[in-house]
Amino acid sequence: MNFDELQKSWKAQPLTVPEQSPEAKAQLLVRWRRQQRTVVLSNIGVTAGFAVTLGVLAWVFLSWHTSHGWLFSGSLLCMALLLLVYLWVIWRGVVFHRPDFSLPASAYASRYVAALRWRRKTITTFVWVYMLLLWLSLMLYFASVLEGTSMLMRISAPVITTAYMVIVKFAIRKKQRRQLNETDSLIKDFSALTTTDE
Amino acid sequence: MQHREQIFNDMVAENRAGIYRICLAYLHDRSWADDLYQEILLQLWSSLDRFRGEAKRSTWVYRVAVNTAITYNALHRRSSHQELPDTIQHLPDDAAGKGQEQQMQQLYAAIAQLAEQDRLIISLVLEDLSYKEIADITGSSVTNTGVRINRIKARLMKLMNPENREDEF
Repeated sequence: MNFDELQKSWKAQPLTVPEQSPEAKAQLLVRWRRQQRTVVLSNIGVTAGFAVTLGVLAWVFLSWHTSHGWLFSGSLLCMALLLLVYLWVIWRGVVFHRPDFSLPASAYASRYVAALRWRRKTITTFVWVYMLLLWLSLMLYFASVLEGTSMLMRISAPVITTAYMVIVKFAIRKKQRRQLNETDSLIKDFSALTTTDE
Repeated sequence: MQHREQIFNDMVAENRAGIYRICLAYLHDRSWADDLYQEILLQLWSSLDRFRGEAKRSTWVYRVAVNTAITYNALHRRSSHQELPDTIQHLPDDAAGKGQEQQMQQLYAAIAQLAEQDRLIISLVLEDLSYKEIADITGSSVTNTGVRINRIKARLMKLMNPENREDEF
């Protein structure tokens, strides 16, 4: 046997390249990484914003809690708790480890699907609940701090705040729909990967 | 995007068998080779924008494959690969026909006994890449690559033909 014969046999060997569309899997994993990167960057921004907000809430509380009643402290505490819970919710949708290729795809795909489902729930449900509770906390806060002020003040502050929250919600509607589409598509493809890999 | 996918699909279609054979030769374990193959495709897709057409498309693909294989193996070095036998089962010369598959097994087992880098280089030689292409891929000079390839070939032939017929290549 010489090297040329080996080379011929090498190229002629029957080969079963992995059946499951590897191109699709490669693209899927790239899409996953891209989606995760976007989520992480967005979460970092939200966390930074919330850190500042929590600082402001603490400052407001420490500066005026003696001159206001329990409603003032309670509403501030609710807002702070809401921010912290929301941070936990958004970070729970992130998977920090890279895919472990020593495991079958089903091992990491199911983990990704769980994270994606959580992300989906965040967009469709948790954001709404968060905004509603935040609105309620703000209304309680206004009721507390605007007590004794003019009627115009007591009405305009909650109305402007409500209008602002509604506008923000509508402004991000398109972005949320796009995020949902991408999340749904990833859930579908990773679920298919789990099935075909078994 | 369509264009990018088209280039990627063409690249994979042209080189998939070669890439997969390299994975098998490098790791000598089908499930690991499958994973490495997927990782190579992933890297190809991610770095497609960096392909400027200066090198031959296949050379670029193999370069990505080789670099990914080295990184992949470094990352998973602690994991337990299937142990290879210390000695290679040699077939009698008359075992042709059905023996081709066993010959391949023998070849893979021989390749597995080579040093890590040498496994990749000999796979590229078996894929019929020129010395220049292999030198481009490994980042060595053509002369050094040639010397190294001859040494690897001799070692491989010695492993395949223990009765000292290494001068046959």
